[in-house]
Amino acid sequence: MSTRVLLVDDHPVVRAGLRAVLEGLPGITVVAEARDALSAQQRSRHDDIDVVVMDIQMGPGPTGIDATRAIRAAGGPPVLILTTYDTQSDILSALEAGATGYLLKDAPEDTLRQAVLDAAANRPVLSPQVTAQLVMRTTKPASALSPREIEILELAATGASNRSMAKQLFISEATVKTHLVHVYNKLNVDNRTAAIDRARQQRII
Amino acid sequence: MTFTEDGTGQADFAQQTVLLRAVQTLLANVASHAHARQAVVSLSWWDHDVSVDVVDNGVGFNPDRLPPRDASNGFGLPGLHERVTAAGGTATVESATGDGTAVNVRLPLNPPHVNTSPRVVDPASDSAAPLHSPDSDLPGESS
Repeated sequence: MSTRVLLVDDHPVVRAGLRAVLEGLPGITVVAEARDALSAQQRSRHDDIDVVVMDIQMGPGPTGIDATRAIRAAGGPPVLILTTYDTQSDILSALEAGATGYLLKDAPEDTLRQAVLDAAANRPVLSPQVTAQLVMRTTKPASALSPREIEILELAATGASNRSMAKQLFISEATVKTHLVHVYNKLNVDNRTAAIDRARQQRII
Repeated sequence: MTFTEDGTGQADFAQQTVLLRAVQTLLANVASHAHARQAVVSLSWWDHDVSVDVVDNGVGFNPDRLPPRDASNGFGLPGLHERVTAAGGTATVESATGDGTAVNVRLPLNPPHVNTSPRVVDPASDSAAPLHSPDSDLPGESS
């Protein structure tokens, strides 16, 4: 029996392209599409889906990671993240949300096919770039940023002040400053701009 | 009420008691005074200290104008401050009228039993060097 896919991407053209590619792969059928997180959650409740192929960034509103968390929490099908981004921040959030696989959109067709089949069978799938990011975290644990530190760095990268970060994260400014000091130490820099640059170079954010 | 935790660590019983009582006091304050819709308790473990933040989005107050300590008005902040200071820690209140309240309580963690990089004490120096140079690397608002 063919593996049945729910394809989630907010871009009509990308969705059509991915559908064409997936439909061309032996053993895979795209049975449904969704263009945002909420419709993906709803559609995944039908029991005719073996695997959800999910984009992360989908305009304003909930992300593909939010949808993944909701689908998995509801006991829905496994989710394979298919995205352009390979930052530690996205990878960790996706895996923490319960994604079974994480693949980049530049993956060759046979890799994509195997990933869809593996994810549908609940076997973890990570593309080589993603594995490299995770290995870097594990082999240099002292310099690996905590999820909160990554969150703070991402907000800093949007230009948020300490105060604004504190408000958004519901923590004190004192704690924001302490997190930043630890981020600077781990990234071996001494200011905010350098930390953001370094984090982008290392694909942490 | 939401609870979050970042990192892992272990505090001794006395420290746990100080943290627990601090959170109790602060949540009681939120309940009686803040008129908040949301309160978040965040525990953060670092290499050398542990801290807890109790943050609400309520009415806030002017921290410079706390009611006097002996007034039985339910503000347990002075007592909390004393207990935390006695445990070697710090308590920081961030608030403004109409702008919610954030309180950070931080305690130093006891040094680990196995120290992989022992500090070399210079016998010629009669005072211990500070662990961090004061404020020199504190992050500013921007750079």
